[in-house]
Amino acid sequence: MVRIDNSIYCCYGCATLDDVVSKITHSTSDVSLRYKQYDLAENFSQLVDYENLELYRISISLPAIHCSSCIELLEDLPSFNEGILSARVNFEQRRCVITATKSTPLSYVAQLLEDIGYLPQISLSQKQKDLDQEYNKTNLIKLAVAGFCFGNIMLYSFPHYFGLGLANDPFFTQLFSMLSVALSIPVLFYSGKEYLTSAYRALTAGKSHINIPISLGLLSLFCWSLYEIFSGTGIGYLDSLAGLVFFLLIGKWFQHKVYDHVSHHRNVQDFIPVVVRKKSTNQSIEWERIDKLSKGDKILVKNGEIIPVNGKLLRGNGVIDYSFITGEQLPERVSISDHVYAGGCQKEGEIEVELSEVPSAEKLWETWNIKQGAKEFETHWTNSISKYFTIAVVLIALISGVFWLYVDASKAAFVFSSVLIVACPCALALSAPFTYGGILRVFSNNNFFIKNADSVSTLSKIKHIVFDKTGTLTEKEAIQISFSGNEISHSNKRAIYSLASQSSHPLSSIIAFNLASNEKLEVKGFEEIIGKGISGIVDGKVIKLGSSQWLNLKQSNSNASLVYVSINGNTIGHFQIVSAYRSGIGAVLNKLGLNYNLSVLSGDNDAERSALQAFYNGFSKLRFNLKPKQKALEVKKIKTNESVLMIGDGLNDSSAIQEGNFGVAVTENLNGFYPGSDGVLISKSLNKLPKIFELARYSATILKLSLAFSLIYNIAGVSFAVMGLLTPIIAAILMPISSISVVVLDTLLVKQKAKRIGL
Amino acid sequence: MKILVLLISLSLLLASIFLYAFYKAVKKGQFDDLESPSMRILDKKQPKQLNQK
Repeated sequence: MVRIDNSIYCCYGCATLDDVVSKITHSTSDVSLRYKQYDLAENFSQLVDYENLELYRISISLPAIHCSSCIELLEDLPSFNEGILSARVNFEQRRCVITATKSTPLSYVAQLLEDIGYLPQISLSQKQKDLDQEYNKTNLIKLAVAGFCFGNIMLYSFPHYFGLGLANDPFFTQLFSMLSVALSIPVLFYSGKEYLTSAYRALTAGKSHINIPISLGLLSLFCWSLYEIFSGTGIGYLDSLAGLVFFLLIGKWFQHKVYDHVSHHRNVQDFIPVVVRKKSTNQSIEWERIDKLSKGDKILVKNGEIIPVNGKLLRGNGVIDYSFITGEQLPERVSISDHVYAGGCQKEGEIEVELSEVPSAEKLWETWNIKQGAKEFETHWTNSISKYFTIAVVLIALISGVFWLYVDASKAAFVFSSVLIVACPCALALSAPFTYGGILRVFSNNNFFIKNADSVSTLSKIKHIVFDKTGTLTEKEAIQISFSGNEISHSNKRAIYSLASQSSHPLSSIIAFNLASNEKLEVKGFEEIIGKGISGIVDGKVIKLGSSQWLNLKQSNSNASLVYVSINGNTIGHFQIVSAYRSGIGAVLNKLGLNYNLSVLSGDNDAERSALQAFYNGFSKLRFNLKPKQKALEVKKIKTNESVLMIGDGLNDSSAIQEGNFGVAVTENLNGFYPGSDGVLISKSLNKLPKIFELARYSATILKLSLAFSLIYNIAGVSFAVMGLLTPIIAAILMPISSISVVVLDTLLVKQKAKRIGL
Repeated sequence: MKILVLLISLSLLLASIFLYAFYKAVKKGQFDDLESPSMRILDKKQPKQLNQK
């Protein structure tokens, strides 16, 4: 028998089950503030897929879905909760389509999902995701059409390839040619439409684009084939044309699939309270949008919520965590009628705040220094190379075409299209996405998620890594304080608190904060000896707090900061204050130090300087007491000399993360919000960083190899083609082979490297 | 050999039907999620009546 909260269960399994079921059947917790905004009419109508007077349907992203039991539980929601009419999980996309009655608000559904362990990701930008899906479907159909036509056209070309008797039959030659022409039209103008239009757009804008030679090749193949067929001189190369498009689309589809798995965007609005509890004149509480509030309004802020506007504390225990803004990890106590500032997070109970200025959501974003809009990505060098490559190929094709026009006019068109096709730089264009795609996949298997495949190249060029301390090098709860010695009596606690709160020394304030529930007494004869300790008389007792040296005790070798306590000359024990560094962080730093310059920028005091240096002795910068803005400035300074990666806590370092060439947010789970970051690293994978960087660096080698490979291939191919020795058919067969071999080469190299370094 | 004309048109027709069926399937979302149905089949419960619109 198991007894939990006055209920008796036969076993823990039943207890857990009942707990989950009761959460589903009746809402246990208050609906969180950030979900409330979804109920506002203008947001709601944007979020739902369908609504009528009684019900609505919405597709919600639930990244926590990971096994068949999740599907079972979520799809069973309707049988436990009347308000939910149906739930259907899409496992691949980690989404759930929920139909609910209008009497069950969306915020309630969201809270319910969170309560049972599936933190929902609802954002106003999710419509984009639906568009992507639509795009994906279109691509799949384009691929199917190309495949269908390619297969059939191929069949019609077989008689010629194998020299069957049929090839000499004028009727069948004619029929097969016409069918091929008919089938190649949808291939070129439906399946291959994107290549043609983007090449056209690039040309009209006067830019070079990888799709230009592809389009030129496709068009010249098509026109040349039409010419041959209608002039009766041959059967053309329509099979190669269709095959080309088919393989190109397969590559693209694969690429999209890879990207799809790793997108992790969240909207700023998901985090910032857009609605607040406003206390109206008749003391009733109602929800109000931030931008509709005015000066003098009174709002309630509950435990764990963010204060949206500057104001004055009217009621409640103000314990406010400003770490988002200042980086200071210890919450600040605020007395009644003192000021509280926007962006602070209330930590203890409910408070009432009177607004002292007109609020605006923009201002709150500004406080957090969250720049909206994406970072500009530098174009990858393979793109810039293929730009010149493109021009070179077209030039060579033209020159050799003109040359053959004088030598042997009948071969001119043939040489022109052979050169274009065999030298088509798509192998080059494919190698970057496939290499990066492969690396991306290895990364996400190791809990490192990158927004964009192209950022792997940025990652590979990093020279300098900047760490944040709290939450990155240390565990999230950065400070552990413990007392060893005899238990302190209540009156002594009070005395120690009163003494410690007199000093602004970081260790004193940590002790004072830890004992803050005690009442403060008057301290007489307070004395602070810098570097040693503090003393004073409280309640008639002489209290000393300080180092072992100061109290004439023998020194202990400990990494932690120890603060000894002596009362009336008797040492009663010591406080032990440690930053809990992640295990193995020293090894990580030392390994990274071999290849990179390392720095630590911390918002905390410098008490940990020696501890950090004990882990790794070659930091190029070790700065403390930095505000987020100063961190960003430091990162910017480094950026002028070498490309820098900032790795830090997603929120309070967001500006520094944004400033770096590459920004990584470290998080405990994937559900957070990481403005400005290029990648998200789950904290338990932090010790894999050296390997991750090694693989990223290796990507440059892989790309160089593929470049060399495709260059040799192309030079050989082009020289044969220029000499008129290569028919367009063989060129068109060689081209996809070269693309495929480059792709296979890249994928294998990534896999093999990852295996060798143990990722 | 003229029978080939009939065979070819039949094969084209058949293939077009398949292509159309594939098109329909994609549009209806049958390829949206290739994983959950295989897990859903293990669910002991009766499939629920989906009273969606």
